[in-house]
Amino acid sequence: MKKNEEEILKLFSGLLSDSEAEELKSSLDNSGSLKDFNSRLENELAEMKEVYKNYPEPNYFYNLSNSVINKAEEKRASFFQPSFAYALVIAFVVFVASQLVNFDAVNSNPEYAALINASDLEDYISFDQFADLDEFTDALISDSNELDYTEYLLSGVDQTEMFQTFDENEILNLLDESTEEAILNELANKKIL
Amino acid sequence: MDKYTEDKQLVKDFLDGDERAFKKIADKYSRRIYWHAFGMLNDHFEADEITQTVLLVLYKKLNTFNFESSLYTWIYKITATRTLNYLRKKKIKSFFSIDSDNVKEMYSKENIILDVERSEKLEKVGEILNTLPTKQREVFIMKTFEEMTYEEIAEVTGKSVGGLKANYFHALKKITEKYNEEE
Repeated sequence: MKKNEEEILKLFSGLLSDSEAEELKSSLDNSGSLKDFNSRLENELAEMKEVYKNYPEPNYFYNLSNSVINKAEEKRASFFQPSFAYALVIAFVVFVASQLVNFDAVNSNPEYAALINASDLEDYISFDQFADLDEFTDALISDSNELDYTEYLLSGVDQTEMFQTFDENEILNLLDESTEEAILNELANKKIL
Repeated sequence: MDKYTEDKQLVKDFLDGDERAFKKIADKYSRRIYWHAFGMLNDHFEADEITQTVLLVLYKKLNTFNFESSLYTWIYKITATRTLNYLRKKKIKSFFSIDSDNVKEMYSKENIILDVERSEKLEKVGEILNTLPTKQREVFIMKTFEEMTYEEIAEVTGKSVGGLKANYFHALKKITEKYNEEE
């Protein structure tokens, strides 16, 4: 592109100062090719504008705005659809039910209150409760239905025997009495049994 | 009644519950919205989608319009932003899609002009506009087709007048070169 043509593009773009623009306009009369370029550019732009401006299809836009209004109204109406009503009813029922539950009954019970107010489990489950070993044993025995080893505790059987399998007994039988006792003592000292 | 007062009255009537007022606003501005979007996207279906979206936004948000600018500038701002966002999304989609070129080819032939000669002209203009970078295309459409002043374009796009002039100059240069190539 020639430099003079670029100047015309600058004129079209408003990049020239007033004096520069005046100078360029006056020089157009002296240059035939530059004048041609200027009018061709004007025509091209006018033609492009024509294509975009004078559109003889008003129905499309008429229908378009109608369709948008319908969509907007549908959206607004959908706010009151049955699903919305169901959600409202369910929320109301949940609210009423929550009002009917007497939370004070739970809060007024000192045992629950202690549990609720305990900072952690140790605050509530104190080992002092099992200070009396007999009491603990009694409690254990009374629940013996669920504890299958309580009968061993009561039977007076040596605790070491409770954990010996048949094979272990066989091995122990092979040992002499002093060795066996030494092994058992060793295990007892290490608190394995 | 001037344009500003007329628009103000239409907005007021719509907010007072007159649906016909919105219809008038939509009829008045839908063409401009559509042609801006079409110029930027060169696709009838996408321009149609943008126009409907912008009109729906207007329907919902007209109550927030405070008349600090003209209604036209406000609508144009929404249109330009939506169109640019659409273009960005489209670029991302086309980056990940293998078939996007085929889809584009299929859609770009559609437009609302029934006359064949005019339709061809529109296609040609679209092809030329497509060669321009987004910023240059946007300024070119607003300045040439919408005959907006640089100050109005600056208000819509948030860019400086000097920058807009430079963009328009480069757009003109490319379009002229394109025409010269075809001859």
